Amino acid sequence: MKKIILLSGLLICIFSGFTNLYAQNSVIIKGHVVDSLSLESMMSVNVVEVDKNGRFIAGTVTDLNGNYVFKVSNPSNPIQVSFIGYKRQAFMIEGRTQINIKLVSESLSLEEIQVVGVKIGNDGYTRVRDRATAVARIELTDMKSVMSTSVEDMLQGRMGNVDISSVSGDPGAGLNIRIRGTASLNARNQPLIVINGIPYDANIDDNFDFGSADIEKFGNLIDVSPEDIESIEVLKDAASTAAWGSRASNGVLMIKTKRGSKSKPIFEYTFKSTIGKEPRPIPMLDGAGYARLITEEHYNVNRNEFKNDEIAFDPEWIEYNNYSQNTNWVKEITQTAVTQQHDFSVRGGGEKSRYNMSLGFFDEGGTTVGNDLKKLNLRSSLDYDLSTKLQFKTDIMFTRYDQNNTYDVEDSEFGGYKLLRSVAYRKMPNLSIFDRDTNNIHYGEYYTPSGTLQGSARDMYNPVAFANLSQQKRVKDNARALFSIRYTISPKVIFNSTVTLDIFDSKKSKFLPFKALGSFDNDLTNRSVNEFAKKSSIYTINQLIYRPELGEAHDLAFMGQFDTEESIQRTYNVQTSGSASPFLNEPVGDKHLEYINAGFSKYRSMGLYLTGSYKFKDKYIFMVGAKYEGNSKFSKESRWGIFPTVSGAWRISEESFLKDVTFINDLKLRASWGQSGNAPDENYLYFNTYKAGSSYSYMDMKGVQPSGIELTSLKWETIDQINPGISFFGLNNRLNIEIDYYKKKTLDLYLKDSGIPAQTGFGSINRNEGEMENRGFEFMADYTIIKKKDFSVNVNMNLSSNENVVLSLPDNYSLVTGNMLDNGQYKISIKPGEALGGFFGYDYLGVYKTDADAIVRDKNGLPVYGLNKDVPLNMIMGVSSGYVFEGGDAIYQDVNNDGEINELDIKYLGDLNPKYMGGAGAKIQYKSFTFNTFFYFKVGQKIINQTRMDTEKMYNYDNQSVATDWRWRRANDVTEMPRALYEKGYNWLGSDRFVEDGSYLRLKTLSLSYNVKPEVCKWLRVKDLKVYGTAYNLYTWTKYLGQDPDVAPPSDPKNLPKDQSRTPPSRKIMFGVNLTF
Amino acid sequence: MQKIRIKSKVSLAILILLFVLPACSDWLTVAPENDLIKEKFWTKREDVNAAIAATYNTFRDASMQSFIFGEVRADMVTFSTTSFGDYDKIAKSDISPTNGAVNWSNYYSAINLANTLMYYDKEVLAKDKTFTQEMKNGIDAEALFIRSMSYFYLLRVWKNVPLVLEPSISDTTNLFLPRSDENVIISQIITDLLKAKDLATVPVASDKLSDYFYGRANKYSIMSLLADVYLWNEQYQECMDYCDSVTNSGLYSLESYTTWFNLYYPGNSNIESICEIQFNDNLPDQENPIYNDMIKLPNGNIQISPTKNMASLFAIEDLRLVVPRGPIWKYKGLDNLSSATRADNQRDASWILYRYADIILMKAEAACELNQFTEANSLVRQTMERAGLTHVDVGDKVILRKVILDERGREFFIEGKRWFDLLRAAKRNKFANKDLLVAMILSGAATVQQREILATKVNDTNAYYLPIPQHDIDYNQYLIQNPYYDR
Repeated sequence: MKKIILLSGLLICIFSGFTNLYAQNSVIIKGHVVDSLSLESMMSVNVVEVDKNGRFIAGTVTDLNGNYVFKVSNPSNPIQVSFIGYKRQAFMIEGRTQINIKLVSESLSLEEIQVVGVKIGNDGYTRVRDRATAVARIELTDMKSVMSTSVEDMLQGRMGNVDISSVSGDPGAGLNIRIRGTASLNARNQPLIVINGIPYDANIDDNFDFGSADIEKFGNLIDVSPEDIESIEVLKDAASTAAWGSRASNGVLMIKTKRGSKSKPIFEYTFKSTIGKEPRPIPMLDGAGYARLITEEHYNVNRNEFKNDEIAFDPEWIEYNNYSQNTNWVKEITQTAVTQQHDFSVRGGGEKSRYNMSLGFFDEGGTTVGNDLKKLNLRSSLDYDLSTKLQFKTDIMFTRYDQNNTYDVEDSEFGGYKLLRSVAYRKMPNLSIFDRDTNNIHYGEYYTPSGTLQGSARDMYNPVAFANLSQQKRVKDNARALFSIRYTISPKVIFNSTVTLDIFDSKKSKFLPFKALGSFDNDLTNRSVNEFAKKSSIYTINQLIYRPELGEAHDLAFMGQFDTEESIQRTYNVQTSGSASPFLNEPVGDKHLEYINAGFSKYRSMGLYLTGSYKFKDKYIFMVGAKYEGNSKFSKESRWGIFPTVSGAWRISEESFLKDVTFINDLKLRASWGQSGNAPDENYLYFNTYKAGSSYSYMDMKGVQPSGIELTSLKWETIDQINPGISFFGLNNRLNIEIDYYKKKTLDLYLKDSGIPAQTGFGSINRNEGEMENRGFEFMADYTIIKKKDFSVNVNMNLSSNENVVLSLPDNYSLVTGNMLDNGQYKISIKPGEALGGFFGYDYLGVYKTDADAIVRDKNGLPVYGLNKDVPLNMIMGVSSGYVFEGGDAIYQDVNNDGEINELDIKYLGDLNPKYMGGAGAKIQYKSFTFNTFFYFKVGQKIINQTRMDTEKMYNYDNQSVATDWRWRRANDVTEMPRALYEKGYNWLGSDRFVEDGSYLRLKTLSLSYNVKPEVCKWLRVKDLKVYGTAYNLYTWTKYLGQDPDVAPPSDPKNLPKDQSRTPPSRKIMFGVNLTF
Repeated sequence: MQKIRIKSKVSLAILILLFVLPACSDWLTVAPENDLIKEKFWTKREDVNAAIAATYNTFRDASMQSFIFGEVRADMVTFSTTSFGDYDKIAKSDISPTNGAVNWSNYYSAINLANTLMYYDKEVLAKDKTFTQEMKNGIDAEALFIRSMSYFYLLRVWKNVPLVLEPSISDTTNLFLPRSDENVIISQIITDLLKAKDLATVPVASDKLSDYFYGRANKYSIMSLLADVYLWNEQYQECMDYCDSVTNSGLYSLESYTTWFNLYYPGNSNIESICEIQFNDNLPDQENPIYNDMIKLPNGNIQISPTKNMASLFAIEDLRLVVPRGPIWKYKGLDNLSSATRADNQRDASWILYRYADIILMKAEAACELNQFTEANSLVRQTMERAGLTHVDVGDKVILRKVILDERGREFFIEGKRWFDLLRAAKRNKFANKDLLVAMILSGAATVQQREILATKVNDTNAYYLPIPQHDIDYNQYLIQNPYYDR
């Protein structure tokens, strides 16, 4: 306690200019610092007075001419002179007042690799060069000329087996990140994000009626502006993620932000402006085409004329003008998105303290009307070295989001999934956006009839009215404060301690005014929803590092870490409807209350991590570790898990037989094995909770009954991973190759809501059983082909593959979904030996030309005759009504030739997992110009193009795409497009017709930047000025017919990979300026 | 010196960790604050009462299903496809394990709640001094009654079913049991009921003031069930003995000709009712769902229609011939003579498990099997005369059996008993009379072709039982499907 008071006292001293306290006996020292070789004067060199405890007493930096002058408080203290890349010197004053110094370069040739050599990983402990684990690292200085607007965007395709796909192109929508495939059926699959050594968990758990909360709704946004980031590491294998425990089992994205360094204040300002445009949507039928289609659809079923005013185009009809337009609904809800970004930062510091403060403002427009995001980022970090022994560090970060999205239509509200875009595609095109009078004039009022041919406005609303009038706002405040102490007990023992407080506070308010739908439904009219969520977490990490000195050849280190986490979550939701006015858009007052509920949830975890590493002669590196982890999500019996790791590396290039091979600079063979635990997302799962209420009561007795079974055996899902790899540096360190192979086995697979027989009194439980495997390789190469002062060319590429297979599942387990006798369904079955995400369906063979073609054929293609020997049997559908196929109907392969299309005729259609993915880029620098390009590709994933199915099925009154113009109309038409049939037939059964290859190659970025010449900069009185332009997603090579093949896999692996007309990522052009002064 | 100090610091840190870690486990125990958890429940008498209420509530859901199972494959009524699509398929012998009505989860939920209750009320006995051993006995008897009744239905609908006697409290219990033979189940039921009848509270006449007398199991409802089970198990003397025990209590007799409709409205007949599942439309979620689904006529479609066969069973002067008044008059009407119907919000018709007429006719059936024809004839006469009919003594066993079966059909018309009566009659002496059921199943067939196909298969006695629900086949590898449905 005394120490703390003392420390805080000292801290106060710092800020009140404590140097005055030491002013007695002072001497003034002057001098000049030069480079020992070139004898050139050196500026910004640190010159400090150090006391016998290593504390810095006073100090200064040299000026432009290499001169320094400063007051030394005690002439018997040594003076220390240091500069990056030079050897530190210390000497006594010995009565002198003028001391000139020659600094000696640490390494005479300051090659890049030597700098890397001393680089410490983002964990602050491991040396980058001595890693035996699979870690991908990106230095943001390399990325500077690309200038992305978000971190995720920047990372996409840069690293092997880091699969980033956008959930939606709307601002604020999250990205789906998978490192080395999907390892769990139900527990967390997203990687852990660690910022400055502390987990960053933006996800608000879905414990309380946020019910379907998925990654889209709570986009796991990394709240750091790309401008603030220094480096990012992706930890992939279990040995590297061990320290982070359970939540890291799907990899760790470790981000280190920029901190101040010893320098004069540096001001940096960046401005970026982006214009985004959506890729071309599926072209849809116009008003007349739609009317023709509907009439035909009806005729084919009923054989009579379809009489309906809405598609009759009768000028005599009073509503004629409202039903005779050509509206492209998708185009009407799409806009050009403009984004602006300002980042300003100051950093600098002296020998003792360093600071970095930044301010970012981001204003992103969406390509869908009504979507935008404003973000304000404030960040400050302070490093203070009280002495060489005691160092303090503090970070404060604040982010405010202000986000507008399209009203989120949930199932329960509308009785169906009615996304804005999906409705826009299907809405009848002859309908007017605005209400027109008999003279075809409108006054800006949306035309929202309570119902049309297509159904009630509740289901088929006016998309333009809906996009403009409905509201969904989210205001989110994230704050984080971090305080950290580093105490060097002795040169061999270091103690680190960090405490962090994280707060996420969010309010979502939704409002659906009457005018957005135009239909009066009590529970929908003027509906307003408020959802409050607050999550606060406290993390503590204490580390003790011990590095005994055992001589030159040996390098031994031990680390012990004890960490805790506690997070509390509070939610409060309320929904009302029927407010008196559309301006009362908050759930207040005497409206009809739909629901109200509050939630509280708490979670704790604790871990002890012990690791030891040993290096012999810089040749053999060996590391063992174990994480002992406990978690409040499990019962006392299964709470603790122990997860060991082992890794080793052999620097083969140091061996004598390779010493002489000059083109090898560093060659390392490495291998790691480790286990890590994975816990389910929800809290309190193991408790046996009881439910009460009127629905459990009998007579006048109030009933209470258990809502489930106590999950005593619920335990850690364990991920066991083995990872051999090679790291190679060669050709004067210009070539870097990393190759990794991994095999990742998930043991005790967590099965959520796994069915149990009804004899237990319950339908399902959560349990651990089964195994799954992901294996694959990663290849990464970076080659600087030319490296001259004015001209350099660098190419880089990475390639990776991941293969998923379910190894075993419990005996009493079954997962089969999809009724193949209904239109539009695909079958999923998760079975041992098969990959996750695979699906089954029929084989589509085209369209029957005539009725006579729709007959049963045997294996040899010969017609099969029934009792009547002259007439071949008709092909029928395997439903009880036995629908008979006719001319114009879809042909499906009758695999077993039984004359019936049913479940026995389905085949495997593919899975959503890409076979290969990767990226390749080039960076060319010529004088002040830097040209940067990057391609990103994915090969082999299969996507169900749901939008195409919805716009080609010709089954109801939905508008359809122009592709349906090729539909079968009369006997002997030869086409691939079946006939239109209103709510009849089986023309859109789940078949390969709608399954498409989602492979693509995308020119992700193309950027050119120009560094303004130093002379001009000087004239402008700035240090550095850079202007640049970048084009994103400029072109995509793909066979995929939908708007964009970058479809995120479903958050639940038990769902189908469907392209559901989300807002696609847009094509963007950005201009920016970066200014340093 | 320096070195030693460091070392001691390190070891101190390790020492502290060693002390701290055990305490950590407590720090990691975080109970939900929003929920009632097991650890906080089962402490007071009120908790036991709440648990028995929930058990009855679940059993009530199962009973509604039993009601339909008791009629759907029989010959009295047909169910519409609108409200009873899945049941309609069963009626037409178009039965598959994926049929939504082929579902036994309600029965097993009730069984599990009963098992849970019997497991934990011991603990409450120790914790709450106001919860006496006598109270506990009464509760246990009720739980055994619910469990036995549930198994009795399971047995009659599915034949061999898993016998679960332990509560599903934790995932460490065995959740995957195979089917047990029907004989094992019936002997378990008998053992349980014999125990329950001794534990149960003995009601007295004054108890009839409370609905609990009818709505919850007491000694005599348990004995009635026991008689029914013995009758099913062809232990006729035991059946007669327990029928007599109920009669000798002096609490029950038949309603008169004029007051007969009191059985259904207002229900809980003061003199005839033994055990009725209660509904109460003054309480939330306790309305009789029958009203919505069966009594009301949505879109003018009659949800339950009497069959020709049913009408032929009744003589015109039979008091119980309520058909002309519209569907299920027992649950719709206010009295037997006028055409006044209950108001829309009067949805509290009880569903009768046992009433005194049942005791009389069960005893008659048992007497007939024991060749005590005089006794049997006099018993049948009681209910027939109450309905305004006359009974002529029958001396032939086969004819008397049919007389009793028909009388049961009339007396318990749409009370969920017909199929089970027929099944009992058919299965007697190793399915000696299966023609009874074959005729009934064939008459349910939708088309002539289907009837022909069915005719070839329906001699398999497994056809009279339902298939195991697909959910259970999927999630329990030990369950073997009824072979009739496996082809």
